[in-house]
Order: sequence, then structure tokens, then C-alpha cells
Amino acid sequence: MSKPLRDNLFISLSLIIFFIIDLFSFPVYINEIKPSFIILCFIYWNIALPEKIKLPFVLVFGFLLDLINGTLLGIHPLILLIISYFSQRYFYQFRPFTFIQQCLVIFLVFFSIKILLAIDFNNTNPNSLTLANKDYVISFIWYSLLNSLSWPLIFFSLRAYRRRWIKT
Amino acid sequence: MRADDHKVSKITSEAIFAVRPISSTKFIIAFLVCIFLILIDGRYQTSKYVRGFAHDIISPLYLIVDVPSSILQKMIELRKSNQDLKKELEEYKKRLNKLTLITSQIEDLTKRNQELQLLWESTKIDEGAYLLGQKRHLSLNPMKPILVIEVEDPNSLIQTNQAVLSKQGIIGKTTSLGINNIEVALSYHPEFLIPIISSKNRLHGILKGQGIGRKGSLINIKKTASFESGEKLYSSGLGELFPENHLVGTISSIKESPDNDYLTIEVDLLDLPKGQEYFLVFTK
Repeated sequence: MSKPLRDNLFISLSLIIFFIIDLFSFPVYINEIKPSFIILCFIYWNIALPEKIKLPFVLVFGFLLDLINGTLLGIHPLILLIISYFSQRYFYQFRPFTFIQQCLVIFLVFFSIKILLAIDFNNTNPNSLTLANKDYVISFIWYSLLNSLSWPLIFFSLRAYRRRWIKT
Repeated sequence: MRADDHKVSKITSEAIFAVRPISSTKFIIAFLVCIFLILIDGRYQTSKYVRGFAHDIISPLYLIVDVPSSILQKMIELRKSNQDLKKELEEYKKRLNKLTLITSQIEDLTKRNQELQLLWESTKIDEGAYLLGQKRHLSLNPMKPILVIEVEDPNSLIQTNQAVLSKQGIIGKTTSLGINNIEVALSYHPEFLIPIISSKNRLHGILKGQGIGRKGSLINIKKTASFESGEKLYSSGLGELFPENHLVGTISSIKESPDNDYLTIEVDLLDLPKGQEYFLVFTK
């Protein structure tokens, strides 16, 4: 098996594993704030091996997330596309950040994701452009915080995985 | 060395081995395609034609997700000690004594039941109107919660926008159909609207979901309407989309604010079907 194909398979495998982990169902409140490991995993691969993450990865996993979450078709590909593009553009700047700085960036990224997901594209609520209310904003913050706290865990586990299986 | 592995400097003609990100052109095209898809799906709900089939394809993933919880369940069962089993045995003996007493009473009741059965038969719901579905996946997306159920529908009776019932009442409507799997928008979904009638005052209204963790609301209810807190809401059957007389929620609060022409009525929707495995789909 050629090396690029093997690398892509191992990256896909890690994404599928995190995708399945994200599928686990928890009590409602935890479900609302639990970290999105697939997106964290995407960020890691974009920063660690930016040349390996191509558009098909972004689109396939994005559409899968849309189908699983019941969101409008195109929202998650859009989120992953923006994340991939900016991660690949600025990974040189991101890598030397301290972990606290990286966590802060991750916090802002996930906060923005939640805002995007709350936009009322179907116009179900004619009085507002968003479906969010005060409770939802509080869950935004918890969600972003937990994701940023999970970042070091994902970073170290995927780095060990990369060093073991994807030698660059 | 492949040509796309590196850039060539325009000044010195030397190779630059900087990593190439997704090109701006590809990014813009993909970005526009995504926006186009979102707008089209938001406006015309085009994805409903593919979602059901997509769930058919990814349904093995749902089975994988169930594996850890079933293993955990089995481990818990195995951990039951002998003492627990002995205690249970003693309890069962006590129950057996009670049951012998009850049996004699039941025989009496059986006769009455037979009479009731005849009455029940005459008013029985149309069984053919319902299909049984088994839960495959429950997505608790706070804004758009969905349920995926597997239904055997050889006669293709199921269509979109049909009611789905749990043991409590109506919990959602079908939104997308696959070969075996059906996507259901739960009553918490902001696009879920159902005509209702109140139990006490027999007033009509439309109930709307607001997302998980938030209460449903009755929309466009005039301030003169006399809904009461605690009143149960049943499907009215108006519009002939949902079957009538199924529970959909209970009014939890009624507020009247001077800057709003309508009452703000919050409704406790039925519990999320987390522990439930089987559902009925109303097909008529």
C-alpha cells in the first residue's frame, strides 16, 4: 500500500472513531455541552498534517455530521471548510502558541460554531434571526469551555497516534 | 518529485517547500456551494429526499454505538451477587402468596373483562393505521432533535409529515423516508407544529417546539382565551395530519405582557423518548 493512501486511511480511521464517540447519547443537558471530538480531531489534523486534509475529507465528514445531527445540509461542511482553511493558512502561527493560547482560540472557534448553528435559516421564528435564547447562550459558553479544555487531551492522544502510525 | 509538492520562487527559481493549504479558489467555490445548499435546503427542504436513505447507509454505525451500553448492561447484570438473588427469591415467595389470593379475585374480574372486551372491540382504534418502528438513533441536537426509527413498510404506507407516537402520546412527525429507516422531527423541533385542543376549556391552538431544554409554546393565542395552567393538550386532528385525542403536552405557564398582542403560553412537552425502543407511525 502506498504511503499517502496508508496515511489517509489512518487519518480517516481516527476521524471515524471520534465520529462514533460523538454519536454516544447522554442526558439532555450533557448532550448539549459535551465536546465535539470530531471537530477537535479535524483541527488537529489540519494543524499537524495540513497537506493531508483535502476537500473530500471536509465534505464527506461535514455531510455525515449534518445527517446525524439533523441540521440543514451544508452547515457542517461549511464549518469544517472554514476551520480547515484557516487552520491550514495559519498553522505556522498556531503551532508555537502556548496551550493556554491554543485553548483560547479553540474556545472562540467553538463559540462561533454554536452561533452559526443557532441561525434560523428556515425562518421558523419570524421575530428573530436566531433560535437561541438565554439558556442556549449559557450552554454555548459551557460547550466552548469544555471543548477548549478537551483540546490538550485530543492534541496529545492524536500526536501519539500520529507518531505511532503516520510517520512523516 | 511531483510538481505540486512545492512552489517555485519567482525571483530565484528555487523550490519552496512550504505546505500548500486548500487553495483560495477551491475554498471560495466550496464555500459558495455550501451556502447554496443551506439556502436551498432551508427554503425547499431538499435534504428530506436523501436523509432517510443516508440513514439506511449509516445504520451500521448506530449498531456500533449501541455496543458499549449493551456491554455495560451485561456487566452490571453479571455483578449481581448471590445474596441479591436470595433476597429476590424471598420476595418472590411473598409475592407468590399474594398472587394466589389475587388469582381468585381475577377469576371474578375475568367475566367482567369479557364484557368490556366486547365494548373495546367496538371502539377499537384502526390497527391498520399504525406501523410499529424500532428506535435506531436519537440525536439530541438542542435546536433540531431528530429520531431515526426502523420500520418495515412493505406497502409504502408511510409518507412525510405523518405522526409518530410513543406510549405517552404524539412525539414527532416523519420528515424523511429511506428504505428501512425514517427520520422523525421530535416535538421539540422548532419546525414541529401541531393543532391541539385543551382538555378542560376545549380551546383550539397550535403548539410549536422551541428546541431541547426549552418549553414548547402555543402560538397566536389571543388575550381573551381562557387557557389554564396545568391543562393537558391533546391533538385536535384539525388539518387531518395528526390523529386526534393523543396527548402532546401540558400547559406549564401563561403570561400576559403589555407589549405583546398575544398570550405567552409555555407547554411542557412529552418526555424525550430516551428509554423507549418502539414507536407507532400513524399512516392514514
